Amino acid sequence: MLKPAPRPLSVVVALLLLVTTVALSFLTWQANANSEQSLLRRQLAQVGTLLGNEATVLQVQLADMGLVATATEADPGAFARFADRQLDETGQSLSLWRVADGQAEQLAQQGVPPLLPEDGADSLAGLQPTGELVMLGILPGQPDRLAYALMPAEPNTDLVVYAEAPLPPDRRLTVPEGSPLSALDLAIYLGEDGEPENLLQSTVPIPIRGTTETTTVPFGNTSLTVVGASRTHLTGALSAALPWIVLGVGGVLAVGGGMTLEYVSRRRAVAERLAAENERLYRQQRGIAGTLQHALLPVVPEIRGVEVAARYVAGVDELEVGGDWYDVIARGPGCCVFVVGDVSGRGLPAATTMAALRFAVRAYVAEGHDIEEVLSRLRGLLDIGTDHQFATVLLGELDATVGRLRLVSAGHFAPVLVTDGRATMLDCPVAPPVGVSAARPAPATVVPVTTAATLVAFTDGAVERRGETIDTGLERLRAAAADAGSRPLEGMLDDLLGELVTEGNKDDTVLLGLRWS
Amino acid sequence: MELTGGSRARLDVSTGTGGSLMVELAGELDLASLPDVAAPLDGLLARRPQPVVLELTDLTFLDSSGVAVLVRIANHFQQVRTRSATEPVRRVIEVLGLAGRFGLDGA
Repeated sequence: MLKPAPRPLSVVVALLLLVTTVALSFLTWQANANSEQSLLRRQLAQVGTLLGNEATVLQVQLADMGLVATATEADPGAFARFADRQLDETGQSLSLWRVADGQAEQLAQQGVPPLLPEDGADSLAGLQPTGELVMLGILPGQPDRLAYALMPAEPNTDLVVYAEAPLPPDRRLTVPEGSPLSALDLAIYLGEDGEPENLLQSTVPIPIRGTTETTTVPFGNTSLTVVGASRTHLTGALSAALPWIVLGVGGVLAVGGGMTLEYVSRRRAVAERLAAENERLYRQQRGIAGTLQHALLPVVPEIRGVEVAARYVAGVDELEVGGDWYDVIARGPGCCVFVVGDVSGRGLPAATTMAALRFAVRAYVAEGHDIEEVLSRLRGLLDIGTDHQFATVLLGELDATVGRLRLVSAGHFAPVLVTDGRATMLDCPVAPPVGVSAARPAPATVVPVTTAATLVAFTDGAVERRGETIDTGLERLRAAAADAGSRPLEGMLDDLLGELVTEGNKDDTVLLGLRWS
Repeated sequence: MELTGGSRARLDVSTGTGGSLMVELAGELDLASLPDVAAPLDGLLARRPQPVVLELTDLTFLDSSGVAVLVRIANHFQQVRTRSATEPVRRVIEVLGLAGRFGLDGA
């Protein structure tokens, strides 16, 4: 079986949910990115503070040496001893210079020999006695060095403390594991332009990738530019994953929602199929009820001179058998007793009452009782006070040989008689139904029928329709009987059923036809 | 008169101006709506026999099961008079030969 295409509604709902999810994910991502950026800025500010402290440390270091040199009147020995304690790192160079008239003269030197700036030691002569750390640039070498100097803030001084600090190989900065900065990719540049040649140190090869943040901090007479990016998510894995979680969960929900809708609507389709199936079963069961009813109803006898046919149609509203019945009891050539009845209510109570009445009629007739007596005796079998049921019964006695019809009715319709294409509702006094106490026995009505005739007895299903008086139904039956009167008896009853029993008819319908000539 | 909820038929009992018992039936009284009136009917049939007036102005449909309700009322109270039956209901009662039994107006 081919998998059916999803329903449009399911797709629309799934898409709407997906769009909402994407929007939510975006917002979450943005919120997270914003907090990432703001966190990164704070961390870079911390880096800047650390670097600023470093500048102060360097400045104090050089200033101290300047003070020592000034105090010792530039005694090389004193400088060397003092500087030696400051050389906490191999590859550093510290030296003391005297500047005058644009010239610089080295007085003392400790550590590795200085590389000196590009324009020579004389560039030191340009320094002012401010006591401020002066950055002199990056000197190429093995390794490259950062050059800086300080001229003590002493009046009339001509001393300059000069220092070179090695930059790490590849200018790679190693941040200890566990440091708050370990989550950052950092690059520190000398100056404010952040040009690659001014790179002092970086944790990764430059340029820094990702979403970067830049900060500058004063460093001596210049500044340092710090470019940073978070290597991992500063806001935490969950926060970073949140947009994806939202997207994922939302996506699942969207697809799930769509699928649920799809499922539900498919279930509805299934339910509708089931309903159709149930209806089929219902019809079948209705058929079973009908079958049961038919089993309780007799096969009409063969009577010489009298043609007999009967129809029973179950109403559609109930699954239970109804209480409608008919019977024809032969009494010799051209003679019979017929009965059409309807027990009120439905189901087993109605069916059993119907069966009891049907066999009672047979028994009373077999005992030779007249139909008046049969009806009287039937009244003793049913009491609405105890049985909550009553039965309408039409009893008829036909003697076709003499053209005489006798009728008694207990709450039942008189039959319709068709002669010569004319149909007549026979008039017959109606006593209360069987089960309802009757003041006096109903006398039989005698109808002489000397010509060929068709008699149709029926139950209320043939004439009762909601929203109209019963007379309308009776007239409809009469007219239909007149129209179909010339048809063969079986066909006539089928015509009448087609005419009278509408789709959705609630009540059972019995038609009993007798035809004689 | 409106019938509330899912019920299609209603049975109300009240005391009329003359002190007689008024039984009002409304809606469509058939096999399917019998449960709607079952409880008030039991209550009604628990009363002592006395003259009863059946008020059927708002009873629009009556099938044989519904007639059975009227018959039980008529049998219990003996003296029954039926007022204001609509034409369809009136004809059902007449066809069943119960017009006299129910004391139908004009019967």
